Amino acid sequence: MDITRRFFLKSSGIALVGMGALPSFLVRAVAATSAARGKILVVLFQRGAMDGLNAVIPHAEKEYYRLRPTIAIPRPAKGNAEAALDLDGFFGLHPALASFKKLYDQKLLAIVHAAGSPDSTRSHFDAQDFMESGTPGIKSTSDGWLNRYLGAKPVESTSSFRAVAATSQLPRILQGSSPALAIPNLGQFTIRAGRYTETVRGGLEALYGSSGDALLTPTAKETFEAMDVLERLNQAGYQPGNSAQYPGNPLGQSLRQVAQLIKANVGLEVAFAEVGGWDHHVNEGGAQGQLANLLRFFSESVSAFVTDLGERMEDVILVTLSEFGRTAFENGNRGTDHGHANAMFVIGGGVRGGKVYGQWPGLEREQLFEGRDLALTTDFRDVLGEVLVHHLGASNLQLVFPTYTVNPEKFRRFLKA
Amino acid sequence: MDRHTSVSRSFLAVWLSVLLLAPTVPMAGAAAGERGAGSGLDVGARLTEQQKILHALNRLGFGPRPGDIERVQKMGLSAWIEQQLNPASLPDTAVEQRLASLETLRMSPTELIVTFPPPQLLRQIARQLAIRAGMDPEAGAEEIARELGLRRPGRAPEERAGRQNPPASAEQRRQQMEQLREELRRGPQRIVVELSQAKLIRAITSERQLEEVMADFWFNHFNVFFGKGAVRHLTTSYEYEAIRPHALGKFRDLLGATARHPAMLFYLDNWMSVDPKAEADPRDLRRRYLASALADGVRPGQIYADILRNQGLDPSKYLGADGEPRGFGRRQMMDERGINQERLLQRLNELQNQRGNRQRRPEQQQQRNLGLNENYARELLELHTLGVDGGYTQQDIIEVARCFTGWTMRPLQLGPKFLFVPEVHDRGTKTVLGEKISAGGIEDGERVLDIVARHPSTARFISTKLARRFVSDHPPESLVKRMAETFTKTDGDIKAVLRTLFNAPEFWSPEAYRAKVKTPFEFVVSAARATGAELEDFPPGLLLALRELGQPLYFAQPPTGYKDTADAWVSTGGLLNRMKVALGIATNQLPGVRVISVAARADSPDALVAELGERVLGEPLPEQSRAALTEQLKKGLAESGVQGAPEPAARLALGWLLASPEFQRR
Repeated sequence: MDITRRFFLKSSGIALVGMGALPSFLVRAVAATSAARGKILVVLFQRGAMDGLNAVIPHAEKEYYRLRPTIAIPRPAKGNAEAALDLDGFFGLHPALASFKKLYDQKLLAIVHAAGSPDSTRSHFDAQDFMESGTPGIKSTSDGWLNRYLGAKPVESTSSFRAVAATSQLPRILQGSSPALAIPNLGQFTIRAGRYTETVRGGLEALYGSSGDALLTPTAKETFEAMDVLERLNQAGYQPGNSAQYPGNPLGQSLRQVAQLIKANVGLEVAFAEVGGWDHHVNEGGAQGQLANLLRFFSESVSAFVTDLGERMEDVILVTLSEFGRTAFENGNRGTDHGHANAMFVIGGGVRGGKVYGQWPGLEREQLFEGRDLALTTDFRDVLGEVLVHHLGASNLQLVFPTYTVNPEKFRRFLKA
Repeated sequence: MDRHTSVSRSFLAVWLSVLLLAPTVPMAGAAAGERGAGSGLDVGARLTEQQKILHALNRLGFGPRPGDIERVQKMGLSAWIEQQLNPASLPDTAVEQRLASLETLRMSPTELIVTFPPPQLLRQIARQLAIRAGMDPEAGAEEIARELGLRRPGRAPEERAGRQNPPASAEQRRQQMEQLREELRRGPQRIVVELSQAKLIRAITSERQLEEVMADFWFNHFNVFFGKGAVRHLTTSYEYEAIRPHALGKFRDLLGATARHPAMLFYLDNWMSVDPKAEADPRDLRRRYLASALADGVRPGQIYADILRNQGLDPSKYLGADGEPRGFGRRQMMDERGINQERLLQRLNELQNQRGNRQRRPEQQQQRNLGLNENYARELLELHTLGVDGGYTQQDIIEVARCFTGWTMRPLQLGPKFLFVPEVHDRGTKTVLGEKISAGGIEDGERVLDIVARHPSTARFISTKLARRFVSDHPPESLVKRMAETFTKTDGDIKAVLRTLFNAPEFWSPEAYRAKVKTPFEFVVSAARATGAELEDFPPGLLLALRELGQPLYFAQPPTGYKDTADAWVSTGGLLNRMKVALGIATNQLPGVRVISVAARADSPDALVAELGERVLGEPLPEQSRAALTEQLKKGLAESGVQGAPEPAARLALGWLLASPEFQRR
């Protein structure tokens, strides 16, 4: 601890008397291994609207093949690498989701099909907004449901790292009155100035330390503390566990950093990551092509995360969201347009995996929503509600989803009791 | 794919690569010497004259430039305020000259569409040309797109993904910067970059500071989101034709201008709101669009020809003499009722199916059911006028939505423009906030605007929001009440309401002094003003900084716009980024932003910190901070061991001061 740090701590009223004076999360970071391990939720947003019908294929539906003459994934067949990977005789996974098939067989992956937001908007922006605010149809909600969860379940000593988004800006889902960090890159959450780094930081700490600003000084203190923690993590370097190989894409890097924070025991409770590029109006492709490529790097990133965390997945659940599904039929450009319900993936040690949950609405003309899209049979808030209550131990969902009554009767029970 | 996400990512990649490369702040020694320090912040029962001037510069404008305080002192504070309330009296030629290079500011929506065609229009062109050539509509379209050199809309995800990784080498960075420059020159991103640059330049250099504050306030109040489809080509016109002319005018005029502007009609979906009971159907809408375009001398298909010409191609090679794509001549578009674009679409579909030799899918032909859309009605009441607690019901929202049925816009390819289509308007009697509305035409919507603009809840709501912007996050009730009275008395005269505000003791109270935390926009603008930083057109460093700080200009997605209260902006990541941006500006590490010289007179660390502190903050740095910072500066100088070059040390001190908690407030 150099002079400037002492100055900062002293002037912000903190006496330096051994470890006891350090914030609890720093203590935890230092004494990492002995810290109690809390439950963790990772929310992964697939922006642009994933084509759930080609990701989790209802291969037993004749109508599916009639509606999608050029982009349908063939029925499961031994020896056909382009065919769907059968899950339960009715649904199958896209062949590019082979790594998810493993998780499914290991009972780590559950799928909820025909799930999503009940609002009928087909605007990406509105629909993403609704899914993040947790209040479909109401545009003026100023905070996100994940942030409201943090407020609804206050914890004794809040870690700066309790809520982290692996994005450059704090996403809508984490905006609100509870603190949350946006860290696109752990290594860059720092101020560096070559050999003058200490000097530059020293000046900043001196300014905030000597200011009595009731709002900014405490925030600055958290910032410098987070920087210190990350410094230590970065110096230690990071080697993924179990020889996990993260793909070199941004999602892989985001999840790698989330795993790093989880293992560092810095008090992470909710994390957010995102992956874009799902809006395939043109030449979506079938077993090969644009969607296939994206599904492959998406699933391989998530699978690497699961491999990396190994046993620790017992504490972690990762759940995916995408703003809406896509049209049941393919369009004239061999793509799909904006639709309604979608498939959600739930992954973790506490998941009763190896099953596709939910009620299948069918693809017959009269079964489709507005005659064109997969109908919705599970509200995304019932999926999230089950995770929040049974995994994270939330008790007041009314605060998290103020415009919706989450009814445990409607939970799909994809979590172990 | 949503273009804006890829845009933002490519910005981001460059930004990350440029700024986060461990800026090395060069240090050098300075001669020793001591000089007396300034006093601490002195907020007594009343503001001093000096504090009042600083307060006014911070609130009516974006903070003082060096010399501003003296200038206002000389002319008198009340004279300066009066001048700010009458911006037309202030010459602003320097700004106009500076903006001359930003060409898109002077382009109409149609010109913007032709110059920066939206991907779906390019697809349509390629497709129609493919059909004409007897090719498969899809494969052919791709081939033609390549042949014509039309930019292919969207990129493969891997490619897009790759762009997000910070580049490894200097050469890669340079290439990426070049690529960004090219994208900005040709792509629709240029529209938002130039809009943002103009907004920054005006806020930083315009003499008409209050006008800029109000233009920003109203745009944010009547927010539209640049990333949503057609809004991209309409935002320039929206800001310059709907918002700015009324920034200090009458609220009703401002409200009316936003209600009719295609950007708002599209953003809040009213363009597709029709009476579900009307016998008319979407075809009537299309017919009206075409008739309106023809009446304005816009030929359908003309925009295609213009786009081709703009790409350096001869339209006659591809299009018929009448400007239509060949094979879709005028005759096919006419029937006994006049123009029938439906026939055109049908014909297109037939051809598609013939040539593509593919199964006809009835679902695809299905019209999207149009109906009542409540989005605009809801936000009009909740966000634009009455406020969420303004005393309206869900039924009022429905009734207002009914009044606005038929308020639509001509689509981009026909030259976007407000249009009222009586065939899809709900002519029934509506009851809005207790008042019956039954004219049955465009007057219905206008009547709604009259009612809500003059409603007491609106007077209160707007006054509260203004007081929050100018005074504090929780403005005194007494002040809001008097402002609302003025609002009502003057029929929503914005200038009069502001006068009440600027004359109020609450505005000048010590509690209000430095009570507001700056938004990122206010932060970067005030930093540029305090340092005299110059902006280059490219690369747009401050714009990138704003993206990092969480306030990318014109990209507020929700209709609420950006918040201007501290809770929205004070966070660990946000503060860290402010520190980086502050250091980046002071040390010229922020691309496209240059502080030519710090030009400090001081010759000792003590004097330097005191001098720059006063320059940046407009008043002396509090004593404790000054002493602490001086100590740090001396320490740094001692470590560097270099002698006799105060400029780098001055830059470091400047960066510190811009990053200081005092500078985060106004």
